[in-house]
Amino acid sequence: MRLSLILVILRREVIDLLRDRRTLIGMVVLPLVAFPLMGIGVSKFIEETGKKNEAQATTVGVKSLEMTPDLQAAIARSGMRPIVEKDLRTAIEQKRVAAGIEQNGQQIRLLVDATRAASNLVADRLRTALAELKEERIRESLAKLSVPAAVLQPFRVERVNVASERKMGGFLLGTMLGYIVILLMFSGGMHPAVDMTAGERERKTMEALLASPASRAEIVLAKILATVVALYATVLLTLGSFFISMKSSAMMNDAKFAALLGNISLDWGTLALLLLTMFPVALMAGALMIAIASFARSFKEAQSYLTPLLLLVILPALLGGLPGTELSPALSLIPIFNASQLLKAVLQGEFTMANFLTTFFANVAYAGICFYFALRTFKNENVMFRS
Amino acid sequence: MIEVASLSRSFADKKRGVVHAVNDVSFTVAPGEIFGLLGPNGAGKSTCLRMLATLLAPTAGRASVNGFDVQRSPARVRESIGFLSGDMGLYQRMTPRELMLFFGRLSRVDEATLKRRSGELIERLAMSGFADSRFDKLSSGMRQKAAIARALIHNPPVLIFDEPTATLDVVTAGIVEGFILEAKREGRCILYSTHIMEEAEYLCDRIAVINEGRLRTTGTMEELRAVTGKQRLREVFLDLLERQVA
Ligand SMILES: Nc1ncnc2c1ncn2[C@@H]1O[C@H](COP(=O)(O)OP(=O)(O)OP(=O)(O)O)[C@@H](O)[C@H]1O
Ligand SMILES: [Mg+2]
Repeated sequence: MRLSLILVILRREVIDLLRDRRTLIGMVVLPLVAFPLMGIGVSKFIEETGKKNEAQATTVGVKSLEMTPDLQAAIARSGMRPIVEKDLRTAIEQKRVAAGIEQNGQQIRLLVDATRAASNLVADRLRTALAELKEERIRESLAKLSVPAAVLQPFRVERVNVASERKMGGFLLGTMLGYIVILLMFSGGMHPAVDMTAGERERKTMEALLASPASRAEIVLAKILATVVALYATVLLTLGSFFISMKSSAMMNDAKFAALLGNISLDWGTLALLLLTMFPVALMAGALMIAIASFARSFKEAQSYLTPLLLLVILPALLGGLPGTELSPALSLIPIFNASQLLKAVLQGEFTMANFLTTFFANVAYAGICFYFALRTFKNENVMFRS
Repeated sequence: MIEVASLSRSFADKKRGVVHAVNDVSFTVAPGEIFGLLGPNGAGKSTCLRMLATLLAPTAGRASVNGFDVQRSPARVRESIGFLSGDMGLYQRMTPRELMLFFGRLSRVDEATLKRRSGELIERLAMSGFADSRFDKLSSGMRQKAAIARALIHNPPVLIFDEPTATLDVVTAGIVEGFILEAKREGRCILYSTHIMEEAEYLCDRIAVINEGRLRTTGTMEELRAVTGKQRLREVFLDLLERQVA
């Protein structure tokens, strides 16, 4: 194999991809524009619905204004405005009141439409008010009986999280990230792989390329590498824009979550390790998609082969990212799963060299096998020249 | 330059069984000669030329191009040929100049020579008006010129052209023909397939008539006329197609 020829073909393929509007939109425009827009959209939406719920969560339906002092006190404490309704259920259904409350002797009943945020909000506030009231009543009774209030609390329970903030962030991110990265790889490489194989045959440019001095192996390898370039670019651009829009938008209104995300220090070491982990996976993904797509008769057929592949990849990617699954040397032989798992480990800052190396070389080996099959397809006259 | 000896190729076809696309074909083409492979649709022209371009492997027989055996040194064969077929596509998102540079680099022509040769070809084929426009904006005549330039960029001693005028109008076909005659004057060895008798008569030094995978006759146009005793081209052709192998 001659490196210079591989580079000549690789260069042409990459330039060709960059000139293809469809690839560009999928690879560059969509990630760069869609994610920030989505971030802004989601945060606006959350903000707006929050405001709307607040505005609606002001009323509570009651059977009559003649209530027990307890009930009256609870409503007052919750800050809700009591509205007299004969039929509480219908009133809630028709949104005349957000929730309802009724008392029957010792029994206080809260009526809530659990599918409505505003209704839940009102019910929560009433419940809190009632709970506080209940505790006060107990304290008063105990005081009358001269029992110390401490009997109410024989002991206290506190839960302390000993995982470092980095680990927590890696945990949350790793669960999503490994999975997202692997999906992005396959979805980002799909169109280029199809375009360079079945597409090239359909446009009848393949024959001239095959009749050139470049060998089949050089051609196949260059096409795989071009797919790798495309899929790396997709991953990098999407993740980059994802992080930036996550950090900058108010999407992370939840202060705790924002802190976790913000504390993940993507230092250069981690980043280099991530990119290194991804490389053999990208190679395998590229080789696999080139192998499958070059077997197809047409562009459409190739696409219909690769779409199910995407679904097939989701499961191991998801399993690998799940909290609780840990990598053992045997498990690091399972393709996709091992990569998703290792990406998580790298982000959490707790990967082992043994797992890294087995995963790395396992994926290189799988890439080699896929390359072999792609090459066989390219050498198969029945596939390349069938009409 | 091109030597073909008892070359055969069969395909296993699901419906038709075994198809003998090329059956025991032999001929030679010398440098400075235009050799025509004349035959109707399905005669086996493309299959034969594809074997010479190392795209398909022969099932029997031997062939060598520029002294290299197509099976033993396919890479050397591909370096020696400029291969062109009528229905060959061109990269839509590239320009003619880029295409020439790409194929030149694949043949490992050095950059300085490549620049000079591409400039020369653009001038000789009157391509300067569109050499830097993408193929999706070019007419079929312009495309065919660029395709020829692509096949010649590495200065190959052997040209293998498979019905290069099949999809062209008379004006553009004329350009292609002119170019093939020029390549002959430069001493190249040209193997040319067509199903158009007039074209074969005008261009070719010798013609081989092929039908159903077998060569019927080989000779100059005069020899073909003498053999059949017919004058009209179409009748000569039809007569030869029916002929049993000599
Ligand atoms: N890959 C293939 N698989 C099966 N049969 C094939 C294949 N390629 C060619 N053939 C058959 O071989 C025969 C010769 O085909 P070929 O394309 O060489 O003819 P041709 O002379 O180039 O015809 P045309 O003028 O239509 O281009 C035909 O019967 C064709 O159907
Ligand atoms: Mg043909």
